[in-house]
Amino acid sequence: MYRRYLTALQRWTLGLDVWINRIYPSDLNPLYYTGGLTNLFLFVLVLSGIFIFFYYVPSLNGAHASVAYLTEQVPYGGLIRGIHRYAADAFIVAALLHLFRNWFTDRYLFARDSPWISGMFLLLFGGFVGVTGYILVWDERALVVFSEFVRLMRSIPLVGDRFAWVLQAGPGISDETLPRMLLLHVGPASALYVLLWWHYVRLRHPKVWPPATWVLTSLGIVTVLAAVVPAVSGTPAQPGLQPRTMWLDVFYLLPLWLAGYLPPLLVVAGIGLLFIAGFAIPYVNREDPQAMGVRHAGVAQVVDGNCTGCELCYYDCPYNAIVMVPSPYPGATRAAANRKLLAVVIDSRCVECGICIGACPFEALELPAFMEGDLQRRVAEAVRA
Amino acid sequence: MPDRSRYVPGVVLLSAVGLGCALLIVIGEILGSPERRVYWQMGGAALGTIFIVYGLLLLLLRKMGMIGPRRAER
Repeated sequence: MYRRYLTALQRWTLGLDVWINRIYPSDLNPLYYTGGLTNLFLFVLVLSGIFIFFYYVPSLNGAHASVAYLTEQVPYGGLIRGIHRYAADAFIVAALLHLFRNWFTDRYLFARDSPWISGMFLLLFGGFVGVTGYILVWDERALVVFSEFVRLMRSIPLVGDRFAWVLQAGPGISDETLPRMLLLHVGPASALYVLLWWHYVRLRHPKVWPPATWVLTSLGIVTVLAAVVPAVSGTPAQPGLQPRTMWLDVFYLLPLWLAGYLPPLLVVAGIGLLFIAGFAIPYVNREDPQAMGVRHAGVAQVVDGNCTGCELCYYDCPYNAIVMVPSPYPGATRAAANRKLLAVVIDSRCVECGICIGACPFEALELPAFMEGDLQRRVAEAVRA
Repeated sequence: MPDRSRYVPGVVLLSAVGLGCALLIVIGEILGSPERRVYWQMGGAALGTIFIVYGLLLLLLRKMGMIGPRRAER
C-alpha cells in the first residue's frame, strides 16, 4: 500500500519535472535545486542575522525597543529585518520541498540514509530556531508564543518542568529569559552548519548552490516582500496581561495554533511521532538488495601496483567513498611508476556499486566478487562449454 | 530550432524595468533623506525588483543560447 502510494507520488513528481522542463532549460529547473535554495536562504539568514545581532538587546525592557530602533532608526534596518523574516519562511518552504522531493523519488535509501537523517535534524533545528526567533521580538505575539511553548514543554511527563526551566532560565519569565532565548536562537543556528557538513559528507557532487538566475530571483522575491510587506512588531509584551487576537505564522507556529484546540501533550506527542516517522522512513519497507537481484559484490579494492593516482575514481564515486592520499611508493606498472597520489577506499562508505571500476582505465580497482581474472576465466569456461 | 528572436522583446522590457528601478534608487538617494530612513520601502522594492529582473534576464539569455553551456554540452 505504502509503496503503491509512493510510486504514484514519484510518477507525479517526475511528471512535474517534465512539465517544468518545457518552460525552463532542464539545468535551470528550480525543483532540481531545492537543497541549494535551502542553503541560499540559510546563508541570507546568517548574514541578516549578524546585522540584527549588533543591535539586539536581550532584556525584558530592551528587546522590543531595540527591535523598534533597528526597524525605524537604523538605515535599511527595516529592510534587513524583513529579509531575515521572509528568508526564514522561504528556508522552511524550500527544506520541505527538498524533503518531499527526495522522499517521493526514493533518494533516501541504503547509502543515502545519512543525508536523510541529517536533513531531518536540519529541519528540526531550523524549526526550533524559527520559533525562538519569534520570541526574541518580545511583543504580544512573542509572549503568546513563549507561554504556549512553555505550556507544551510542561505537558511532557517527568522532564517537562525541567525543559520549561531551561527555556525560561528559571521558574518563570525573568531578565535571564531573553538571553537564554538568544542563546537558543543563535546556538542551534550555528549547529545547522555542522549538520550541513554531515548532510554533504557522503555526497560527491552535491548541488549546494542554485544557478545565478535562481539566486537573484529568490533574493529579489524576499527583498520585495520585505519592502512591500515589512516585518513589524506588535505592542510590547507585558507578562500578565491578556493579549489581543493575532495572526500566527503557519510555517513555524502551527503546533501552537493546534495547542489552542487540542491537549498540549497530544500536540507534543504528535510532533514527536511525526519526526520519529520522518527519521524511520529510510528503514521502513526497505527491500532486501538480494531480493531485488543485487548480488553482494564486496567493498571495492584498490590494486595497489596499477593505481596511477589520476583521481578519476575519486571524482566519479557518488558516495565520497574514495580519497586520494600521497603515494608512499611508486606503482608497479609503467603508467603508475611516477604517481604522486594513491586511491584509498573508505570501506564504511563503499556501497559496492562498481562505478569506480568503470571509471578506472588502469584496472586499478576490483570488486572482490567480480575479480577481472575470475570473470575472464568464467567467460572462457562458458565459451568452451 | 526555436526562434530565439521571440525573447528579444522580453529582454528589452526587462532591461528597461531594471534601468527604471536603478534610476529610482539614484533619484531617491539624491532627493531622499540622507539618513535613509524614509522611502526605504520604495528603495527596497526597487532593489528587489532589480534582482528579479536580472534573474529573469539571465533565464532569457540562457534560453536564447547566449549564455550557459554550448549546444554540444546541453
